Amino acid sequence: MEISKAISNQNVIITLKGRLDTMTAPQFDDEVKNIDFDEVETVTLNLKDLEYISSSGLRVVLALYKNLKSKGGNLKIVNVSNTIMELFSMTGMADYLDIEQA
Amino acid sequence: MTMICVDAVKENLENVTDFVTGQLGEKADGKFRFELELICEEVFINICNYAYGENVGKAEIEVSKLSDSIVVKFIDSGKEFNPLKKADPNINAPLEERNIGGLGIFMTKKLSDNLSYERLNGKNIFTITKKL
Repeated sequence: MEISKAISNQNVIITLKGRLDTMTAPQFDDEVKNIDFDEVETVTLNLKDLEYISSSGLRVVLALYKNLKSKGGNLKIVNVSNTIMELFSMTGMADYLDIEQA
Repeated sequence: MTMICVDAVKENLENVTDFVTGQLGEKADGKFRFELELICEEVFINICNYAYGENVGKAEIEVSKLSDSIVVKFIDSGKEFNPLKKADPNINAPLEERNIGGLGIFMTKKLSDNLSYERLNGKNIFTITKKL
């Protein structure tokens, strides 16, 4: 799992590469906890190179969304593969998330 | 049928998923592999987190590849737990109102073709069938 973060003004882009599973989700969670939700307007998650995600990864996405919403921020998820999109749909998360498929 | 027996600790996750998907052969497509891996992770991690409390116990994973399906059996000697009795999360609720748990078992149910649970001789036996 590789995580990179780019910050410009009030926008943060987080790119996830590899596998977001039980073992690697805490790394992503640490990145999320480092975000200054009082300052940030939009967080964009780029999933272009994300090969795999399990419920532990989805939980961090959910926590990120909740943190942003509570401070008036937005979450965008981009470059989502078909298989990962199916999981967002299956869990009813797709109904509420701003998602752009790959 | 082939099987492995490992300590039910998160650090063995990769060993377990590699073992199970390794039975698929090269023909299995990426989506099937992804879904099978997801099922294995959710069930195995559930055992790691809940079966033995603070102690470390064993988890046994048996895989049978049939002509039209793959059957994966998870066996542990921890406390009685039937994942099928766990209520599904409310997937229609706004995300702000959602609890953080329950998604793993829910996705396991959705991605499997058949699930069965039995408690036998002090063991939890959870059997998952996924059509090839």
